[in-house]
Amino acid sequence: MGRRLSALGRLPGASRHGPTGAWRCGPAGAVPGGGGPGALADGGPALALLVLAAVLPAIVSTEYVLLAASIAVSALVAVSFNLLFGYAGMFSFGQSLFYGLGAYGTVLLMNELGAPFFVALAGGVLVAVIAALASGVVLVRVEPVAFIMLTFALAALFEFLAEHTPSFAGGDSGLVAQLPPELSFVAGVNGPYYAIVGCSALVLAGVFAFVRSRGGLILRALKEDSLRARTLGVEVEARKLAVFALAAGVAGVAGGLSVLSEQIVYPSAFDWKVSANALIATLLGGVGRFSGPVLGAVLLGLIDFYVGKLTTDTVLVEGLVLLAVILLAPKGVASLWQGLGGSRTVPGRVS
Amino acid sequence: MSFVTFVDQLFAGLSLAFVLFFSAAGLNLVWGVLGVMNFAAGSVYMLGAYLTTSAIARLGASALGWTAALILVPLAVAGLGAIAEIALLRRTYRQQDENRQFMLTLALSYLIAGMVVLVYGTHFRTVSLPAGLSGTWTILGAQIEQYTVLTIVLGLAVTVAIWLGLYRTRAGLLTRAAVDDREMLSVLGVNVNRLYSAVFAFGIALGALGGVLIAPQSTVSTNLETTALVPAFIVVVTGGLGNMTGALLAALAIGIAQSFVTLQDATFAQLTPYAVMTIVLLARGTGRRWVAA
Repeated sequence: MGRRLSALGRLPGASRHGPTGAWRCGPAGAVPGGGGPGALADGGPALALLVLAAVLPAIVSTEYVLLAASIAVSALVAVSFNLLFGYAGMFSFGQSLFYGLGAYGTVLLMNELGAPFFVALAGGVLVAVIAALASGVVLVRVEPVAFIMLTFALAALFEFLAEHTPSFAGGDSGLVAQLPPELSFVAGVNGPYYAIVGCSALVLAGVFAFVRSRGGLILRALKEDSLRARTLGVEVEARKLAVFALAAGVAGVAGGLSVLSEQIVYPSAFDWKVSANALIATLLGGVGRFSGPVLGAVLLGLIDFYVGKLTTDTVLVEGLVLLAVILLAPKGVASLWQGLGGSRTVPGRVS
Repeated sequence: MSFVTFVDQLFAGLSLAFVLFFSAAGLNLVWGVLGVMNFAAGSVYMLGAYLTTSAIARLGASALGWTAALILVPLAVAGLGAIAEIALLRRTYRQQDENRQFMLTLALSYLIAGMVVLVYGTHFRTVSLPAGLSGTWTILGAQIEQYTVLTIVLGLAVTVAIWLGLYRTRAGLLTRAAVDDREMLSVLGVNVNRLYSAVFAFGIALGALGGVLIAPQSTVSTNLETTALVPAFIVVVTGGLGNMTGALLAALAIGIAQSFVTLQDATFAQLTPYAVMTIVLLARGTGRRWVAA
């Protein structure tokens, strides 16, 4: 048994991804491959949220500023996941690996070498990118489901290592970041908060420019039909490796910034729940849309926050949210407002 | 290493290997037939262990209580699996979207974990070994725990049953046919929906059986979810996706290797699955089945 198991009756050439990117369900007449929604529709919600984030400390109490800081961090992880899954069709279930590497890299560079925070952050991101390049050489070549399983297993490996190297990574009790006063909670939350929002804005702008560039279009071509893209001269593996490293960099920034919002790093930074949260946020907001993961992270963060006040069993609620999104709004909650007909579209060859 | 230590570790490794194989075989069957990578396999394993604590608390840690738990827990979980398959997964097959299916099983794993926390709380639990099986037997000069021997015997029996079921029964024939061509099977008048439900239920029950067997050997906590899933994934990838023989060999290699590494360093022995997988994948090269076209 087993020789043809992975073929499983799928027609060659038929889309393996079913109801793919949301860009297809954009306004009727959108040119396939022409970039989908307009720049304003695609990036507008994220921009609005950034503006809101900038004025938030003037409006709400410290508790909510801290919440916003952690939401900004998880939004970046979701953006990183969406870059792979929504644009390139690569289902990584191990973005927590790069998040954790960014976090540990940043703290270790600060604590051990006394590097200033932003230098340490850059170093942490570099560690994440190098790890992605090293593992990606193999990972981009395996079949999709093995990619899910291996990225998942790799993140678990690093969680184990962080737990069991107390002298280096602090073990279960984690590592307390030795932050300068202006970036620690000692002098209030505004310093770390604005550092997080500022860095997030820079990263979001960079990712936005990338996904709307030719490089971003090529990724969508890969996702739709990698064989056709290859025939047209796209170096599929090289493109996949590049976006894997880019996404790792984004997740690494998120990890480095989590040092500011948490002021401590635990092995749970590598936990698969981080990756799963990024997935849920992306689904909530809309896969393959630039603002989708940002919107979704805000929604999920608020749900978790208020549910957490009522019960400790947030897992059950998150499961219900995930189930509801998959079944009722596979293109994200934003699509619900655009008419219920859209979410019922059967996949397949539209073109 | 003395011969006695060798025998000792070999038995420990074999019992570990069969528990690993149960989860991996469940994953493989479901992947092969339904095309679904079942992320809920870890939580099902955890659920099996928790249900065992309940069953033993009611029935007592006697031989009879354990026999009942070994049968009832997988059956109960199989029932849940059939319901989940009918309610959630069935509507997704026509789209052939393995990502969406994976996400559904992820949601399922959240729901199971959430229900376990709701019912059992977050404290860990323990369950005692079956009465009369807490001692040791002397085999080839080594003192082997009776429970370990029982696990291996049961593992062998279930493995043989899986193979006989797949290759010597009509249900197995249909299952293998469904792997090759679902549409043709359905055209020939086979109730493919029912077959899928049965395979999913059976695959999930196998994972739960692993959970039952592990319950008295470790503390039962929500951590079991990840500790079960990671090695199961590794066994499946090492053996080749959907390859049952490969999974059995991978489970045996990983279980036995890990048992011997435990002698050197019990903590880092948990990395053995990664090491074995890396060696196998490198040895097999990048040109084989597990590589996308």
